[in-house]
Amino acid sequence: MKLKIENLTAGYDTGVVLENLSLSLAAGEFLSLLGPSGCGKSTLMKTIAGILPAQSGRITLDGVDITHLPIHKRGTVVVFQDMRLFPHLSVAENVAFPLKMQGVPKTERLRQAQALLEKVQMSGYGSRKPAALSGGQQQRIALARALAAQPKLLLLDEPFSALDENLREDMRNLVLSLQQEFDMTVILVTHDREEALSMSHRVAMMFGGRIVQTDTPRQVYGAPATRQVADYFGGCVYLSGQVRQGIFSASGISCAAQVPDGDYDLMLRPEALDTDCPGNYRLTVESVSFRGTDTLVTFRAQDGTLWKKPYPACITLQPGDAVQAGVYLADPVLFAQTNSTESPLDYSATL
Amino acid sequence: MRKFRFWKLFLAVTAFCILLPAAQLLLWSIAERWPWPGLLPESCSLRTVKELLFGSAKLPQLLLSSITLGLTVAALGTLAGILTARATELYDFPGKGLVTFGAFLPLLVPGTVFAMGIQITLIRLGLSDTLAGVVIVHLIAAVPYCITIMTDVTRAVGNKLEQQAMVLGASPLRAFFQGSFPQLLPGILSSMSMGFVLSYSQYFTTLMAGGGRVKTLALVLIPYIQSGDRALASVYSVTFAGSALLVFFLFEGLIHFIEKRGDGA
Repeated sequence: MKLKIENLTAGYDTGVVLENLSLSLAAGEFLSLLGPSGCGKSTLMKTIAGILPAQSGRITLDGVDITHLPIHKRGTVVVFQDMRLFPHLSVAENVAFPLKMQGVPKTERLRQAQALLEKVQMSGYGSRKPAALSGGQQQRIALARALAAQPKLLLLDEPFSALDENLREDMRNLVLSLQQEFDMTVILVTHDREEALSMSHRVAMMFGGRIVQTDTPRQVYGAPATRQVADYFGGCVYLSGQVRQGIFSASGISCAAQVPDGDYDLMLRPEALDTDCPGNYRLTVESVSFRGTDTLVTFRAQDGTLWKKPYPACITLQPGDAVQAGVYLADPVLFAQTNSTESPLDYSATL
Repeated sequence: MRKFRFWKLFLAVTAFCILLPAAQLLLWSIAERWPWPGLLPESCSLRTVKELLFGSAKLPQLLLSSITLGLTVAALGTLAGILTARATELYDFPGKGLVTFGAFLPLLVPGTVFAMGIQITLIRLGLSDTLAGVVIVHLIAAVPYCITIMTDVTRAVGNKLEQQAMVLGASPLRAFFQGSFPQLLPGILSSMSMGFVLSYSQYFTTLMAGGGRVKTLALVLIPYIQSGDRALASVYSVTFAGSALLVFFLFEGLIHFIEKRGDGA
């Protein structure tokens, strides 16, 4: 294991944020810490980097206990959301900064900085001051500077959230190609679902200071461990029903289920609803809203369940249409019904 | 329009209150005889200038010791300012409010009052009538201003760049000098200007703590004002104000130079 966090507790004077948290990372792995704001993902990142002291627990990096090592001796480099380029240094001097700290002679470190600037497609900008660059360019410089430090572990703290939508895609690709080229171990802190799912080998879902599930992007999306995880990706529909002798049944739907008998909610995503293949699940079109790249159709099932499913822009469905749809049930996700009336948290509004 | 007129009036009053007396001071320095109600002196001479340059007071040594004292106080005061500002702005500790309040206490108590008290302490410590004693007493006057300036600048700069430098492998001390120091520099120079001017213009506290052995320009100047030799008092005043302004402008020039270098691509 490259990084191993065992029973970590950390926080601020105002209270503990992380409690008994464990996580491990293989060398060359790209892991995303995904969760809503305030879930403790930035606190975890700061604790790994040493900016925030651990109250208890152990962090080892390459087998070395770094729990109480000062920041500059850890070999963990952070790229912050606000880039934090040194305004008094030129772009090349910024990139050469970590090498200067390592005592690399000036000509050699500027040569290496130049090579890194080429890697991030900023080779002509070495003599400029950071203030003369755009946000995307500054982000590239911040990335090159982090690479210059030859980090054992690279921590990216919401690095793309300050960028425009179209720039973000470029930066994500750049980060991924650099990660592969330098075979780096990376932790990406983000609240962006798509970013986490599309970039990482594994996603660690964080809620309330705890890691709820760590798995591949397909697994956390397709087989969420808890309702919180399921709801975080949004658009979930829950059908309540019962399991009797290995069969789950709800209104118009039944499927095999390897769980003890009882009351369950079946979690389904809009993808599971197939209106092109007629089945015995009856729906009425409630509304159709055009959104440019797609059209969002809201259906109401007979039991009142609302489904929101995006369609290609040229859909012929009209409000009031009755539809008989099939429901695709390959790997059903069932959550035991709890007696609490607490409604599931809706994170889609904050995303 | 109205605002503009008010601004003009304000400038005129300021000029009248500051520039006119200053110009008068220049005239007085070379006036030999200036009886009332003459608009200009009846006769002029360079007697006072000769006295200033070649008289008993030894101007070069006086200037050197005053400026050295001023710069020492400026440097130490600013150092105290930086450290206090960092403690109160970047860290949390019990009794933080007390430290902040304590730092401003010298502003509330008149200098004459604490100079009396501190002299007893200085005598006990054996620092009375020494340069070190004078530096300490001047620092008491200068430090609250230095802290105020450095607190504002430290709050604005924060420790983000320092954190970034540490993450990139810089030790805490190097991280401060590489990350925050360049950003703090304009504030540091402002604080030093303030500390210098405060030390430079101290009279009573210098007299108390220095016992007359530590000579500064202010110390020599004030008896001349009281003696009634207006011409001589004027020429000393001009020298006093001029030398202080010169150091002040040097600091200001340095700030501009640094800021300009920071802006340029």
